[in-house]
Amino acid sequence: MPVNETLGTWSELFMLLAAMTYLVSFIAFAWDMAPHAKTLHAPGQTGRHTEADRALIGAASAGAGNARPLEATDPRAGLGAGDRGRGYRAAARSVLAEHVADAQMRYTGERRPAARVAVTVMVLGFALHTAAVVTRAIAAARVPWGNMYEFSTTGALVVAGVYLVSLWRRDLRFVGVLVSGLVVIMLTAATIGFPTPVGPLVPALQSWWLVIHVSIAVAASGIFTITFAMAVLQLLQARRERTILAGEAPGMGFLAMVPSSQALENLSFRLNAVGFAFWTFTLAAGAIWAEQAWGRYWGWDVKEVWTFVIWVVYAAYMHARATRGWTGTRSAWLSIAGYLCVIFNFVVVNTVFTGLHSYSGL
Amino acid sequence: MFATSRLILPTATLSRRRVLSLTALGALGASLTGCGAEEDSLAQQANAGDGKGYIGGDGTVSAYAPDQRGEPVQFTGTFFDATQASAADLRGTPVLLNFWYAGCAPCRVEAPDLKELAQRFAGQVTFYGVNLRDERATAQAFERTFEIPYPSFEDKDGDVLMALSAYVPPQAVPTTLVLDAQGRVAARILGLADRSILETLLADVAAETA
Amino acid sequence: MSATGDAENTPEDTTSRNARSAPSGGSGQGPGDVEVPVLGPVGMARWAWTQLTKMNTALFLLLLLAVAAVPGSIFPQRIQDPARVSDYIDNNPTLGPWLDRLQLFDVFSSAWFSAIYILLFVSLVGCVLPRAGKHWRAWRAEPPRTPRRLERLPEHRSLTLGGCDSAAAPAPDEVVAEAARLLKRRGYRVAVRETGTAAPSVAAERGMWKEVGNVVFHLALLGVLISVAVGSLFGYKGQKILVEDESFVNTLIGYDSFTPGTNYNPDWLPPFSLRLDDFSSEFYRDTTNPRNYGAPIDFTAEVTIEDAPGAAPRQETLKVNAPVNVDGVKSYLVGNGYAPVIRVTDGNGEVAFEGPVVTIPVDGVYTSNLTLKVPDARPDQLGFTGLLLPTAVTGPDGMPRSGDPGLANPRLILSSYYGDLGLDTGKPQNVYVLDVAPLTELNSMMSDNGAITLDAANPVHELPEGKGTIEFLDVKRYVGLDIVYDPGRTGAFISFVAAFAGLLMSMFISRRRVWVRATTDLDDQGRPATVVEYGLLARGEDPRLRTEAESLGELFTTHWKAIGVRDDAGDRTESAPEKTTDRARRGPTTN
Repeated sequence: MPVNETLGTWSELFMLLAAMTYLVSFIAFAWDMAPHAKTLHAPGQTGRHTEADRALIGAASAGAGNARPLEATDPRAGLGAGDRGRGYRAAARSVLAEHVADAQMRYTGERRPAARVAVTVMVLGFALHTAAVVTRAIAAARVPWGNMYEFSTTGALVVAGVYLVSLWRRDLRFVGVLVSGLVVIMLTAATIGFPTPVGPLVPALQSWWLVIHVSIAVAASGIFTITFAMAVLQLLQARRERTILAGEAPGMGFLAMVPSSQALENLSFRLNAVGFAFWTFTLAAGAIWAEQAWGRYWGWDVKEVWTFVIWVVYAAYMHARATRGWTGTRSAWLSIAGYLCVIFNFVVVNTVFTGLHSYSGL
Repeated sequence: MFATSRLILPTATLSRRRVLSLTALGALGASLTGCGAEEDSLAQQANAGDGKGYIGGDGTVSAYAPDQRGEPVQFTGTFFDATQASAADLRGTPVLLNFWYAGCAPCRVEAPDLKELAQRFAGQVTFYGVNLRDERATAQAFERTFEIPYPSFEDKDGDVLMALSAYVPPQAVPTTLVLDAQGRVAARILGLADRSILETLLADVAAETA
Repeated sequence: MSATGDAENTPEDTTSRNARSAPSGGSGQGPGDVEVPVLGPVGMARWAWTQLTKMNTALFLLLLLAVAAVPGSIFPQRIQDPARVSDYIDNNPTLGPWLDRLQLFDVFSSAWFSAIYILLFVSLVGCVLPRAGKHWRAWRAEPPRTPRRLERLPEHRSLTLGGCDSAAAPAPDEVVAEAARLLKRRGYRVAVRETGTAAPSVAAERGMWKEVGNVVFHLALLGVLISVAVGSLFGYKGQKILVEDESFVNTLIGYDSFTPGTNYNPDWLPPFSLRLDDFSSEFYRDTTNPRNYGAPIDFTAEVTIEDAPGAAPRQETLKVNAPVNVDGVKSYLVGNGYAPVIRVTDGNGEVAFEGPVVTIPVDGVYTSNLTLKVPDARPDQLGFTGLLLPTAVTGPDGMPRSGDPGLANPRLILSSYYGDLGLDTGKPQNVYVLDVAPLTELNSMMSDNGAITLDAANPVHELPEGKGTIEFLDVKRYVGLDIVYDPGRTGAFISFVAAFAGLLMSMFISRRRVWVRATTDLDDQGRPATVVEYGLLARGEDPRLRTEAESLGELFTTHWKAIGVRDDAGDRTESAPEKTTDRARRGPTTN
């Protein structure tokens, strides 16, 4: 099992280039968002919109036989409650529709040169990143997730990959800033925080379960990264929607590029469901491996505790969607809490606590 | 359930007086209340994390009336002087087997008692040690220190232990087994053996034979 | 409780719920309304049960469980490492006992943690079983009645059949029968309704396995819990350090430490023996890659196993990640190290100790701590502590250290003591710790005569004051074994497979209902035509409901192409919410 150091050095170089390319992409994504922020900040325009909207909403609610004067409250409060008619909700939705992006996240004809540059650069970054991970794998003659550096860089590759693939189907360029930003952070953290030279695997990690358990864990973490970004946007968007319905200047104009909080919630729920299934598998595959390596499938090792905590938090998230009073903002917070646990599990548990998962071998 | 398996009082063979005297020893009372407490003691040992490196016993005594004893034991072992002995060679007189090693603290405490009892029951009960962990020189140093008059099997390879586990498993260091003249296990003491109890048990098997 | 969200309360399903209740004429009764408890014990119990099985409670318990698990990662846990717990309590004499009283060193077996998960599982069962019953009845019943106003459903389409000159408009009954056949072929279970009337319809439903998956998932979690319980009641776990050429016998006396299950009787231990014939380790030896030089890449133990007294011995290879199994009892290679063979001759000139001494490696280059007690040395008991350096080199500071985990230049560096070791009191002692307080020092790094240094060149050292000699004879390898029996293992695995399959089913199967109604009408040119109207409703998350609606449209269009199909204007391109808005603007609809 020879380790090819030259190739390892190449890998590190590619990784550096990829990080810089992603940074350029991040800047371009931000550039794309910036002008929208400016135009929609113009108070006059926003005000006009709002008055028209108000009239519309009033008509709608009267039409639906709802005599209650329409105050601009959180439209979410109306959802599921009996006292606001369907007409109100629909009207609120159509008002908001003018302030947010298409819920189906389809590509529109709108020209967004900066976004196009950003995506192109990100694809380039992804290519470099793939080269870096692949050369590392070849250099080490094994799967490239044997230590924290490799877990981070491969995880970032999955995030970027999942994101770029989903761009194919949907216009998700609005999360580009967050996704490219997170990828840059992951690569930087890996390079500065846990630099590890290419090396062989310690005996404890020499198992097929490394391939299965860790790759699924990386994929799940990648998905949770994207839903985390969407949950953050959802919270911002929900706040902005409340402001709009209250008839005030909404601010945060870049959110006009972002679909409604409801659409974000629906999409991130679907992604989180897949992430949850992956995480369940990670947990179970880890248990099977632990049974094989350490003689017990579950021993409440620090890493196991946190894997369990994450699983429970996302399980709670899954249930929250079906619980009255827990949808919308609260479930977004749960998604964020889950992701923070993922980060904690990866960074703090691996570095601060001593446990069986410390990658130090036997 | 554990009480019966752990302490079957040999009432069938013991006289009433002797039972009373046994009970009066108090130590037996302790072992009676110790029934069912052994799991606690095991769990406590596991939780103590004291690194003592062996499983201790609480002195629990199991005595078996002749009609309740199992099959005669079968084993072959090698003494430290390289001579061999098998269970069959030991038949005819009762036998005491003491499982020990030199670094085990309770073994060192009961060694003087065993020496005296071996001398007292000379000709009636044959004593043997079964050394679980030591090499010859270490074991001999121990025997020198305590002037142990009887030989020990060298059992690092576990042959004797393995064979005996099929009958009445030794469950602590030290463990003392008393075999009757037919080679059946008549009693087992887990942990440090109380001298008076051991004496009584030995007297009983000796009396059976006489 | 559901993994993927029950339809009842999801926000986007509000309209669906209204639509569903539309046939019965009513609408808008909020689900999950709490009943006012009837006083009295039965009422209270029922009220408590209702509260416990509510989704809100389950959610709260889930989050509580997550929070409650966290201390288990902060404080040392007895199930992990009892020695660390003892150390922690010793180092924190005030806080430690309190934490212990609060069971913070046994979080996962503590009363409070158990209370949370038991309540959670009660809640789960109380929630899932009624759902299972409900689903069972739903499965046996026919698909639900056709709503009066199909256009209120989230997806709604309408097609007009006829219009080709050659073909007359088909009868509604015929059309409905055909639609039922098409839907059935598509995996729907169907029920044709109101035939012979002017507006016959077919109700269809698919994805009944979704809820089955959901129920299976939750019940399988219960299976996992039961399996874990079985394991902790009737299993055991023990440790044994075994030097080369030594044997372990699976009886209590053979263990260094042993943790029985709550209901495990050590008499049940099946006697088998495991002999360590050889242990070898392989380290990374590519000199062109100095950064990884010396990293471990393989540990292999060759063992001989006798499955029962008198059984024929068999050879096995024991590796990390590859335990050996004797009748369900598995032995794992969890550690290894060096055991230098030492001979100590006492002051009387007699050999007081000879044999391998297990040392504890403290780093990647196997710098190992050694403790040796010689209680049978005379005139005084002797004790030694120090280090084994497998490959001794001299560091830049002039101090010896280990340069490699391999055994290239083994050296012992020891301090020696004499006095009463305390073993003769019968009090158990840590084998790896020498209490030097009551002892008198003979040699040490600090003393004038320096530490004892033993290696291949100088294997013998004479102790001062005629206390004896120490000889370094050889180095053997040892392995640390975990011996584990867990009767809940298989059950846990099966439960997991069931849980995962259930999860996937509940997530990726879509439960949908389709209703198709056919009526006779006049087309825009006044000729008789058959209007096929259909609506779809999803239960739970279903992002592909629209796709399904469109597929059904294509299916119907293809099927009735011969007699002419016209897609009625309107709803196809517009999204459902806007449609609703539209109607809302028009005011109350008359249908």
